[in-house]
Amino acid sequence: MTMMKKTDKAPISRRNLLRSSGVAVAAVAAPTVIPSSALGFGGFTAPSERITLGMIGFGLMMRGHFSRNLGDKSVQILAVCDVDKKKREAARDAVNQKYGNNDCACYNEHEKIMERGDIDACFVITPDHWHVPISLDAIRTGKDVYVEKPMSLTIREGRLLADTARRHGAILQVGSQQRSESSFGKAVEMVRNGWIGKVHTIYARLGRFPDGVVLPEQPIPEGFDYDRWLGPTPWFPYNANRVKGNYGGGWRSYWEYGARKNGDWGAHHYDIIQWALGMDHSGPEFFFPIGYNGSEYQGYKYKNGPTIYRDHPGKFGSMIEFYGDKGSIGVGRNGDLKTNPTELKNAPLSPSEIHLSATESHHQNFLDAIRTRKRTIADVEIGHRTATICHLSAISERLNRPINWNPETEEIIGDAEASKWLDRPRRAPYTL
Amino acid sequence: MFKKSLLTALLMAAVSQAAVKELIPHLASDNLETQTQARLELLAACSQASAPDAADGAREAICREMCALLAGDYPVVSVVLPVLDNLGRIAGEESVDTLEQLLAHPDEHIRDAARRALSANPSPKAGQVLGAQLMMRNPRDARTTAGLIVALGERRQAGASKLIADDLGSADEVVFIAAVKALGLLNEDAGVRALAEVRAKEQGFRLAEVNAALFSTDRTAVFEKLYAEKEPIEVRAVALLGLAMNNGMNVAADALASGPVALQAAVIEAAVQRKQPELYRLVATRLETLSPALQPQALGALEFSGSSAYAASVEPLLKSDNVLVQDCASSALARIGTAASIPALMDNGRPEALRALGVMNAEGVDRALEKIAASKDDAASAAAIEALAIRGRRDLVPAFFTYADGKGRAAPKAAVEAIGQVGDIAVLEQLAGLMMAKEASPLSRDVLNTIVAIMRRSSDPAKAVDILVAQMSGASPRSQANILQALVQTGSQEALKPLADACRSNDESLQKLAVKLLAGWKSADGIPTMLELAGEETMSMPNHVNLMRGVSRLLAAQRRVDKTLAKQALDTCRRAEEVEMFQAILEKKK
Repeated sequence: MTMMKKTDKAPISRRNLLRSSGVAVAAVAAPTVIPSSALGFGGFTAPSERITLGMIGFGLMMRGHFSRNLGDKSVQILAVCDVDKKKREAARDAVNQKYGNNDCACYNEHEKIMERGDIDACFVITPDHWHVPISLDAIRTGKDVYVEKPMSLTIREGRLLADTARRHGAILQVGSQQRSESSFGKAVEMVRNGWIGKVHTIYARLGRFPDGVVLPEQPIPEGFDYDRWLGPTPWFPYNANRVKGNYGGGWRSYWEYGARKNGDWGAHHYDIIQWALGMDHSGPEFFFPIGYNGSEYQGYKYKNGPTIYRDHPGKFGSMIEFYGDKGSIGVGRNGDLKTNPTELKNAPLSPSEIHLSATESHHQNFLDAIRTRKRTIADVEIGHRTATICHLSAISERLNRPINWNPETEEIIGDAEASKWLDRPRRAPYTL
Repeated sequence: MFKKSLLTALLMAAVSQAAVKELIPHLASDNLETQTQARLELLAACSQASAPDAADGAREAICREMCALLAGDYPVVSVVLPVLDNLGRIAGEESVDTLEQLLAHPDEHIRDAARRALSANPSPKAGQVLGAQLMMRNPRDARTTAGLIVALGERRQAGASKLIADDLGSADEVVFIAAVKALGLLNEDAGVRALAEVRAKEQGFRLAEVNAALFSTDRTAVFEKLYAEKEPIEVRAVALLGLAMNNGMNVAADALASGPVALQAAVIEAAVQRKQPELYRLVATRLETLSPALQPQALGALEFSGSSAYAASVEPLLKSDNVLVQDCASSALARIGTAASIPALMDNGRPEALRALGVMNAEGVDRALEKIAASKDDAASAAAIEALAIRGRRDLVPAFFTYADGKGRAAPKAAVEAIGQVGDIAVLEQLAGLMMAKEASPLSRDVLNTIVAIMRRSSDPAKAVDILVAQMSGASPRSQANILQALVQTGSQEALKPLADACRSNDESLQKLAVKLLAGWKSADGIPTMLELAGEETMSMPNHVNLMRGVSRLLAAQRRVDKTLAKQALDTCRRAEEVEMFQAILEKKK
């Protein structure tokens, strides 16, 4: 037994509590910005109670996160980071204008944020290939993390992030925010409680990106750190379309930076399916491409469970449709929830049935979890398991053959080449 | 058998040779679409050759062919790199010599692609090549060194720690970080010792990475060393979590009893991760003595345990001075509470406490709540009714109607809301009756809201409208007005007809109200009805004006004005001012 000296309890502040289960670097002497409005005047929360943030990656997806956090008096953005000088300086200026000072730091390298002991949490809103490397650095330096979906670029790095988050006691929220929309929650409760019987078929509507085409070389714009944008991915000549953030293509079209539609929308819909089937800590066992056994659709199958078909038209026209032996459910965004029988969706849950933790705001759930240290609604293991489905679907599509998967050991069965896709060798000097 | 295999290999080699060679002009084409297609075909060829059902020797044959091509003088970006990328996926020992040679290529991207291909190559020889490269003392840049180090680490190359340990002394950040991470991955005694020694020299981000690498080894000896009192508290916390995860119960108990808070937090986290009853018990025992800042985490752990054995420990925290703690206690009891928890939750009364009463799955809870609901304590009855509604007690709808008709304010209001929560259109008629009976009471507004809620979620809106309309005949003007308001608030197409009928009522006040409500209709589907009524000669001028204002509001809100409706509106105008109003809208939308 290790003998311990009995010590008096340390004075408690929220920040040292937040640090409690993380490896923080030595506290940096940089003072927290304290404008007069933050001293309790003007309705601001006192600075000591605010959660301080570093925001990383100022592409399209950051817009909502940035404006939400900028308007939230319970948080304070202390630093912004992007490999594009224009973007990070514009973000810095917006923060400074909002807070009425000039104190927001502005970095090209995310490591500079990690060196700061006064930052509680990071928002990692970069392209997929930077999600895990930055999140790992954040957790190792004692910070909590909100990371966009899909959580990882590869299955192996997802496992590493999940294990590291647990080892350091970090809070992590994956940005699969459909978990915080009531229509999806209700649909999941209905499935979980067997209201449509045994589910045999599920449709998920993802759509398609155009192929990631070969692009001509262009000069790298001044102030854009292209080497760092590429990070651990293979080198390609610069082209604006390669690095472009675009919901209809751009970098999302390329396998190098993600799992294409299987990752972009699969991370949302496959996530809801996992939740509905109670498989958050496991997953399907078989993945197949278009053409397998004559199938017109790509898909995957759970052991003794349903088959999921991607982009199969359904009878509700919803994003996700569940078909069971006693009924069916269609669910989508903006409150779309349809059932057969129609009144099913209006039936209340009884206490003996499964009630999911209701949350209406994905951001708030993250901030609450930082304060309470309870698991988030899209915790790291959940994010890893969902991303695993995205990646295995992509591998099956890419290799154009079925994949057998063991969700317990997290190994592909009987296919050495496909197994290599579980990870991707990283370009030097980038590491995990 | 041997002959057959040899024949197959030769055949496959010939096929792949032809396939890959034929692709070269396409890969090198000036046409980018052709290049794209060629890359996909190369991928497909490699994928087929390495599939589980591929012919014997097919993978090796295509790899040899690609290696042969790499000896040629082809464009780097369009041919060499895509070929190397595919070798990275499927190459074996046959490709190692070629890849080794490319480690010395003048192009940095080719060098790194070859290194990556070697790092993923399953042949032991590939590991030996990477190790030998690292040992060479020839000058090379920091990136290359870092790449070799990481490759050895990711391959878990046995014995590589000794090769890498010296790089912990590198002044170059990328080499240092690569060495730290590789040694953590390798998890060999020599490397772990080297990491432990280098800690004394490091600080800040570099020290955090060293600590993380040490923690990643999951060695008890590492946890014990980093739990030493001289270590910073945040390092001790992670070490303690590691110890607690590895049966360090005594250490955990001491830390939870004495603090500091960072260590207590680590023990609670361990309880959640291990799901171990001893740890949960420890947390439950210390719950009240913990800092309020830590109690939410502890309550979360007990909630996660799912064990009602800890409910009694949780209940006192419903009286905490800190509302976050109170709500976390309620949340915990929602999962682990018993019927005995009801009084404490009722006393608390916050929404989270009522939600807990609503979802608590324990024997006797329903019975106890029903008893409280029937009591004369207005506030308690209201809370119990609300909880019973959350519990989905449709069977209690008759009782809810009784409570709704009772005395007091809170309980009847809660009862009406409960009906709205669990009821369907089958209760609409009775609700309308209640609204009429209570038309002079503030409760009628609650009933109205409930009717609207039920109608909005009904899958048969026409039937719901019929039920309500049927209640209008013989009702007092006030009740008729209430019903009309309910119809309007549903916003359903089905509600338009009865509303239009009321606009033609002989009862002037009812007609006036109906017109006012219709003029406030929120969607453009009401415009035709409004125009039809406004155009009727019997419609009074004030009612006509009201309706036309409603039409102009809806037309102005349209992104693209419906020209047919706009023309119809102009035709319906009675006054020059109205014409000007619509023309102004049309002008603005042009």
